[in-house]
Amino acid sequence: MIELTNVTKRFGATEVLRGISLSIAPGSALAILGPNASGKTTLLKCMLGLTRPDSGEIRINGTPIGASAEYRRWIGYMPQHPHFPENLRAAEVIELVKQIRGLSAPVEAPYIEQFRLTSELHKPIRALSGGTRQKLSAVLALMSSPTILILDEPTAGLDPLAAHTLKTELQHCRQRGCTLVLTTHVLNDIPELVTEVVFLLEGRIVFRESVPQLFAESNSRHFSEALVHRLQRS
Amino acid sequence: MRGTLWVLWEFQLRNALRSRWVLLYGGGLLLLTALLFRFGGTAEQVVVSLLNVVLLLVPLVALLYGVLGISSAREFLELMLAQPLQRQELFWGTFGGMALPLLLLPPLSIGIPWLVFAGGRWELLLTLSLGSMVLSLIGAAAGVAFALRWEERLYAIGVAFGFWFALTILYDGFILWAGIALRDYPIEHGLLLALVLNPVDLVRVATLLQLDAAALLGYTGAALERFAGSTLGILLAAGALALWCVLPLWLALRGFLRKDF
Repeated sequence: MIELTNVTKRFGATEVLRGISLSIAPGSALAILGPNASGKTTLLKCMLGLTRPDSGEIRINGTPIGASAEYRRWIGYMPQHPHFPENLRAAEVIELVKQIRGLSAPVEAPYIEQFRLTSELHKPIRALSGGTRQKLSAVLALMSSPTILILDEPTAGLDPLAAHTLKTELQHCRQRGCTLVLTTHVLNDIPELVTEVVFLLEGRIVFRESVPQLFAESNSRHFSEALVHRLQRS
Repeated sequence: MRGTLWVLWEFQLRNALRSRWVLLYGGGLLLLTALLFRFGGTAEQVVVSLLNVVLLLVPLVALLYGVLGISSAREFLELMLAQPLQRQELFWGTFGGMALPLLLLPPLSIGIPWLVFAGGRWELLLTLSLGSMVLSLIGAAAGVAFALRWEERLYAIGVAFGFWFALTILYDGFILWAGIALRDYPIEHGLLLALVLNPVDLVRVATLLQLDAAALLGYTGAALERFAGSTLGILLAAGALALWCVLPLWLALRGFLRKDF
C-alpha cells in the first residue's frame, strides 16, 4: 500500500507538487500522466525518498518513508535516464545491486535471457547503447522480485521487441500481485499495463479514473482520444 | 556477507582504477619524479621541485575529480538511493571509493622513484606524501560539495577553478601585497591567520620547515617559524590541516544528506 497525504514540494519559486493525496492499493497498476513539468517524476522520486517533500507524509506498507531505507527492499525502480559508471561492465553493476540487496542466487538470469543481454554483460558500459542500458535498468528493477515497481518512462528508448518483453514481464509481475506505478508519454502502452490513471497538471491531481471507465465515457477505442475526452470534461 | 560500505568501495575503486585519467595522472607524476631524480640531484632539491607540482597540480586534479565524479554519477546515485541504503552509507561508500585512488596515487607515484633513486631521507617523502594526501582529500571533498551545491556541471567546475585560483595564485599575490604595503605595521598575527586559512600554504610551510629552507618559507612561513619555531610550527600547521580535512568533508556530507536527486 502506498499512501501520500497532502504532499507538497517546491524547487525555488516553482511549486512542483501542491497538496497531493493519493492511495495506491496493493496489486493495483496506476499510471501517472501529465504534460512535461507537471510533477510526475518528482512524485515518483518522493515515493522513493530521492526527493524530500516540504510537507505531507508518504507511507509505504504503513512505514513512513523517512524513518529507514529498508522499505526500498520491496521496491524495484527504473529511472527515466539510466546511467551507470562508464568503466564498469553490466555484469558488475548487476552484482553490485545483488550484493546491496543481499541476493545470492542467479535471480537475474531469466531476465538477462528475456532481454537478450547475455552478449552485452561483459562489455564496458560506455560501449552499450541507450536501449541496452535501459534493458539493464529493467533487469535491475525486476530481478529482486519486488512487490512494488516504480517505473519512470520504462519503454522510452527500447526497441519494439524489448518493449514487448518488458510489458510481458510487467504483466507477470502484476499476476504475482505486484503494485505497479509508472509514468509514460507512450499512451498506447497504458491500456496494456495499467488499470487506473492519475492525471497531474501543475502539481495537482486533475482526475483519477479507471482505464475501462475512460474508454466507456468516451466511446473511443483509442486511449489518447479517451484521455482528451476526459480532459475536456475537467 | 561483506558489509555494504566495503561493497561500494570496491565497486567505486574498480571504476576509478579503470579510468584513463587516473592512470594518466599517476603515470605522469611517476615519470616526472623519476626525471627530477635523474636530472635534478639530491632528495632535498627534488622535494623543492616536486613541492611546487604537488601544491599546484594535486588540488586542481582533486577538485575536478570531485566535481566530475559526482556530476557524472548523479543518475547512478539516484539508482543507488532507490536501493535499501542509508544516504550516509552511500556517501561514505561513494566518496571513499572515489577518493582512495586519488589519495594513494601521489605517494605511490613519488614513492616508487624515491625508493629507486633516493634510498633515504624518508621523513621528506613522508611529509610530501602526507601533504599530497591531505590536499587530495580536501580538494576531492570540496569538489563533491561544489557539485552537490551547483547542479550545472560547468558552473560547479567554474567554482572549483575559482577556489583553486584563490588558494594558489590570488593568495600569494595578496600576501605579497600585504607584506609590502603594511611592512611598517605589526602584521605577523594577520599573516598567521592567512596561513591557517589556506591549506595549500600550510602544506608548503610544513614541508619547508622540515627542509630548513628559510629562504623559501615566504612571509607566512617565516611568521610561523618566528612565532612557534620549527617543531611547534609543523605541529600547528598539521593541526590546522586536520581541521581543513574535516570542513569540506562535513560540507559534502551535509550537501549529500540534504540533496534532492
